Amino acid sequence: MADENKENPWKVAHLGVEFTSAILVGVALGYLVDTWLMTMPWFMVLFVVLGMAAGLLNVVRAMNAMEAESKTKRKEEEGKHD
Amino acid sequence: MIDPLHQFEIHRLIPLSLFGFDISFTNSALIMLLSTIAISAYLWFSVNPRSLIPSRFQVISESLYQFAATMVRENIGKEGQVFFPFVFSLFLFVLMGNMAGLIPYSFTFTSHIIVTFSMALMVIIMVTIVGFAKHGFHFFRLFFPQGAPVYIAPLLIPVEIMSYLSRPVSLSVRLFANMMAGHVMLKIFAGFVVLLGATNMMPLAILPMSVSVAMMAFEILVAFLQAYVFAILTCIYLNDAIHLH
Repeated sequence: MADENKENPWKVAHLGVEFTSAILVGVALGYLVDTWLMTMPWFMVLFVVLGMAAGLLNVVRAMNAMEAESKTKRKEEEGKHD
Repeated sequence: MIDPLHQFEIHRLIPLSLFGFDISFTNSALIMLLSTIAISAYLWFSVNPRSLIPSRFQVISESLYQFAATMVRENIGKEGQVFFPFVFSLFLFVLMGNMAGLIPYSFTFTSHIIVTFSMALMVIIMVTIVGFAKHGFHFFRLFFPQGAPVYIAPLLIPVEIMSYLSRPVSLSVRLFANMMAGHVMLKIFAGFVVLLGATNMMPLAILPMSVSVAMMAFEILVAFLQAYVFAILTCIYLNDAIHLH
């Protein structure tokens, strides 16, 4: 890379999938519970909201992992310069 | 005539059925079989001489092995060596599937969500089994971290379970979406070349043509990157199951 301080933009490209997939799981789970208990929209509504929380959790975890990785990388590079 | 989605059609080559299920040998299955044979044959014949001064082919095989081995070691650690064959074959299969799809008249089996989803499901079932085998019921700690206050359990546990269940979905959707979008884009720009070439503005066809060439190079990058991402996420999930945090 020409600029060492620049992060690789491809690393953040998958965060969107991380968020939406949890919502999809929420829809699927809610639909299953609703067809089982015959309470059509209610569990789906609940699980979609929970799915958004889970999606946000996924994104936060991915970001944390990325930050930890870039921190160790920076440390290694600083160590090389000494 | 120029249908960008035509490339994803599945044709029956040898119709078969078993207990009423359609298990025909399709073009998708043919490419899967061919890529498996190609990987095995390449690795076998390139490493077979076992020369101290490796040939070019042996260097490629060895660096692929090295690449996957470092990935497993860095992400899982020493306990992860057992899973190296699994991660390595998964990586090579996805890589070969992505690359084989770039050959004209070929078929990209990784652009079908059922293929990627079954691979992701296989990964996640294995991760769950490994977690339970290693930790027993302590594996449920993954859904309720130690030190969290008990009164948030009814909210936290469903969210954590959904976060866990979303892993195979995000794993499969990521690979499928990247491959499908890339191939549709390639076909659309290639279609522009034909459409413009048939008119009296034929020299303009060079524009979509050059975009197409650039897209091809980009697609090779994406093919490699997505195989890498699939393998590394498998490693990370295995690591989560082996070392509970």
